[in-house]
Amino acid sequence: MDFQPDLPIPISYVSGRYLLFSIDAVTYLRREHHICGVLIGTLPQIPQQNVFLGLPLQLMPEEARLLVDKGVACIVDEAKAHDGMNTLLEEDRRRYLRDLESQGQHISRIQLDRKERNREQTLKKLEEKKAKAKAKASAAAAQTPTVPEVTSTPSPKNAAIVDLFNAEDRPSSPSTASTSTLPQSATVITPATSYPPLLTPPPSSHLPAPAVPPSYPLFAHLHSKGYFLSPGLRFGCQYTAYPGDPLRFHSHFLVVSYDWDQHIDLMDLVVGGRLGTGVKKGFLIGGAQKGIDEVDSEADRVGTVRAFSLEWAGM
Amino acid sequence: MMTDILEVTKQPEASAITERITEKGHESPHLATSAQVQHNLEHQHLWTSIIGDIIPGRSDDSNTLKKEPRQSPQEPIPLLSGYPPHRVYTHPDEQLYMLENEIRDEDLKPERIFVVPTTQGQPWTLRHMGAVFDRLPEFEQKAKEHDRSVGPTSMQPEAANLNPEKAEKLAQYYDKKEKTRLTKEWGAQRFLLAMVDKGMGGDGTVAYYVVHEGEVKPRQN
Amino acid sequence: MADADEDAVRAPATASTEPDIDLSDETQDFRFLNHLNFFADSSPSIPRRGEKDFEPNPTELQADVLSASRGAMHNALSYPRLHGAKTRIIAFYAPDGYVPPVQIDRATPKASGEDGKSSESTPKPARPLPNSARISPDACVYVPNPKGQFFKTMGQADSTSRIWLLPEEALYLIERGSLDIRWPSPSGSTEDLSVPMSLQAAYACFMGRGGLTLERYSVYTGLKRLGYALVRAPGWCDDIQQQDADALGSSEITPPKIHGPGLAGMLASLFNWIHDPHSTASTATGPIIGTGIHRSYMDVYRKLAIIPWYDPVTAPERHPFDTTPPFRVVFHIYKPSTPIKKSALPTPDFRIAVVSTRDQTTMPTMTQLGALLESTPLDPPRGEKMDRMMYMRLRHGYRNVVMAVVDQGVVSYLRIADSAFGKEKLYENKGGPQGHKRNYANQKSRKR
Repeated sequence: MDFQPDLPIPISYVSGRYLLFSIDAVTYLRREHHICGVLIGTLPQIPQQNVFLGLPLQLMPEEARLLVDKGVACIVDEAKAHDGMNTLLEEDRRRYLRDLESQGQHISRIQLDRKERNREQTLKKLEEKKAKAKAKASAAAAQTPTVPEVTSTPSPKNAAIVDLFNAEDRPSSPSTASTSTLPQSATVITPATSYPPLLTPPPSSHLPAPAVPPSYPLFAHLHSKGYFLSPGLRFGCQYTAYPGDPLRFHSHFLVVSYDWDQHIDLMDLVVGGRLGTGVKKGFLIGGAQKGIDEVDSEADRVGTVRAFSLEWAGM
Repeated sequence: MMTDILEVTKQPEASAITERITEKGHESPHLATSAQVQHNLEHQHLWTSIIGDIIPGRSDDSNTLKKEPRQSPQEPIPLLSGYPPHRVYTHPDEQLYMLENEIRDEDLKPERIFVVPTTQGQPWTLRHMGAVFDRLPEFEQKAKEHDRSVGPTSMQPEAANLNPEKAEKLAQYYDKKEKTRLTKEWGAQRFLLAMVDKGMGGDGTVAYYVVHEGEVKPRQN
Repeated sequence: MADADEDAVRAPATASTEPDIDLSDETQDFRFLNHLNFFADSSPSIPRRGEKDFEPNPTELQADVLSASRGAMHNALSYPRLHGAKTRIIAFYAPDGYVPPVQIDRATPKASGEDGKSSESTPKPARPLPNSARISPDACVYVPNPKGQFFKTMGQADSTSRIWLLPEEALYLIERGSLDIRWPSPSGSTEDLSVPMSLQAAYACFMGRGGLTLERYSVYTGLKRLGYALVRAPGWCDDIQQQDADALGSSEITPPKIHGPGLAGMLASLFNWIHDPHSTASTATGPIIGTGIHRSYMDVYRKLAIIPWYDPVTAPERHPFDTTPPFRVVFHIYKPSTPIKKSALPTPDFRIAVVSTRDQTTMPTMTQLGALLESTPLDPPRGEKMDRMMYMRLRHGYRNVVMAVVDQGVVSYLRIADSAFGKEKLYENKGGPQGHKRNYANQKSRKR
């Protein structure tokens, strides 16, 4: 599971937004760089709900910028990169189709196996029921020895799921071993990413680092302190800051950035402080002491950030 | 007709607070706010030994200096401090420590708390916040000297009544507290931001917020 | 959006105990998704909300739980988009948009790849069929053999019964694993070498096409997932012009009334006041209510009502082009229960404007908000309940619009209604105001 993708990770620039389509990149960035983004896609396994969402992952420009500045990621103009689909060689197309086909067969086999197992399990359960009935009726049942087998089935089944989920760059060899029972290309896959068949875009084609809002220094400052940051409008702020992975922790701060000499309406502090206290969060304001015109780069501003936390005093 | 009525109506006497504010307000609007907050602390929240001070504003207003982040803002910032009857703020980790060691708020020496009086609509920036924290140690020192000169406050818990075990725990607590000052485990510097509602004439409400320097995790009450 | 509809979709298990918690508000622990059997035939239900910790501690338990959560998330997000032989729906990407069907034999439904090619080869000028005219110029994916439930509310059929999909429709379907979109097969090849489009490719090709922004798509797909049907509104194009608007079905938009409503209302009340036989009043020379004998409080109050008020009923309806993007209706929305016929769409249940927080960083002005509301048709509070409950009337308003504010993928919905406070004569209401006092707000945030 602790997969290490090749760096820099390409971030798809699509229609002015920053997206990730590779699950390995998403997991890696979350684990190693505390970058969570927002999942915006539909989960194909449960498509009719909004509680759990899937790929793609949308990154804030701040997140993309941070990763680019760290040298962890690069920005790829995805529409342009996909022009390469038109010039794909016939040979590459064939190979790609073959790979997909074998993946499809592999999945079909798993599905078939599972169906088979499910059927067996149901049958066994039925038999068990019968056996129990029999046992009740008479003395002993001959079928009981099969029970241990039943209980052992779930674990290989789960292993198969995990295996399947890591399918992204698995060589097609194991599944090509022919099975007469399978119809050709029974299951067709829509891949999550276009790499392959496309080749990783060369560094010369990378786009410049994303433009960021004035709140970037505070964002980067909090991130450097180990906080996980999410967009905050829903809670009435710019960012929500989590002390750990939002999967497991509640947020600590509602964050609003100001420029060092930007006027702050004191009523906004009352509102923010009260809002935060109401949901057991602190209201955090802050900003860089230096403007972008006073330093060489955005990164230099991050070191000059000062932040203040507010809580209702309760008096 | 209307004027007749006005003449007949006798204006009510100004309240104590109004008199006090008018008296102070002649000097600067900041002091008027400060006076109102001081009144509120003293009479609504029963604070004691309140002293007032002021962070002077920047005298020259040249723009070249404005870029210097540590330069204080143009306006003077009044500063009050005093002893609240109960603890106003306890850091969550400190609270946990106290719970584990069976220390109650009442066992502890009262702490002088600093208050920055403000009012709606007055200029306020991060620079103002920064200036307060930059100067806070200096004012804490001043206040300490003041307290020494007046003698120990009457609110000191009677040490004689403490059993040795408790005294030991308290001593450890104060030790720990001193250490956390440097590690900032129990939060960094803090003050109370007092906001007076003066919009549309105001209703005398003063709202108090604890402001911490840096990221200090919220209390979970 | 009606509260009831959304509440029903929220996790039913928790609804009774934690009514105020919208699960989609927070990052969910994917471990709870793991309890579902991905390959189960029955549709899975949404798991319960997980407990979170306040802060990290160095315990191994916490590390293990986090690692398990991340593993579960990884698994859930790796789930492949599969097309079984029976349910597979094939579609083709048409980079150049709608191409009229070539007059060929229509007996090629099996080799779907050839369909892709045929649309690429130089098409003969097809007879302009009536339904071909309905194909949007923004459509860029077609389904040669449409089947299944989705095309009841999506897509437009051409003369050869191919369904043409708009970018958002195609993207939604590929994302939920319901459509196998293929790149066009290369010309000059005899075999079918049409490669499947990846989800990434679909985003790259469809996003930004024909006015589709990621924010609009987030709203589209978020509501589709909840079962709503969405149709592009006339205000979809940001650069919409007056002549375009005229060309649009003007049935919904009545010509604006010429006279100023406020003025008319004021004049009417002025005349009433002048012609009031009991009146001896003049605001200039004496008490507003005059010095005569007043037989009821109603008369007194009526005379005291000298402040003119805005009446949304008489406000002129505006064309969408009078509004300023993004404060403009871009989608018409139908509840899952509303029967829809694509050829004759009923009046939408909701109208929605989509705002991106990164492009629009300020609140709308009253002018912008007013124009947005006035571009929607009159929807006065009617019905037995509304007649009874004043606060419900106020909350419902006379015109309403939903604003979706999208902050980097996170959508908040706000219902904005044009409440007519002036129409509610409290003094005529003998029993006092009815309804819950909490409901007075006319603008209410839909989410916490």
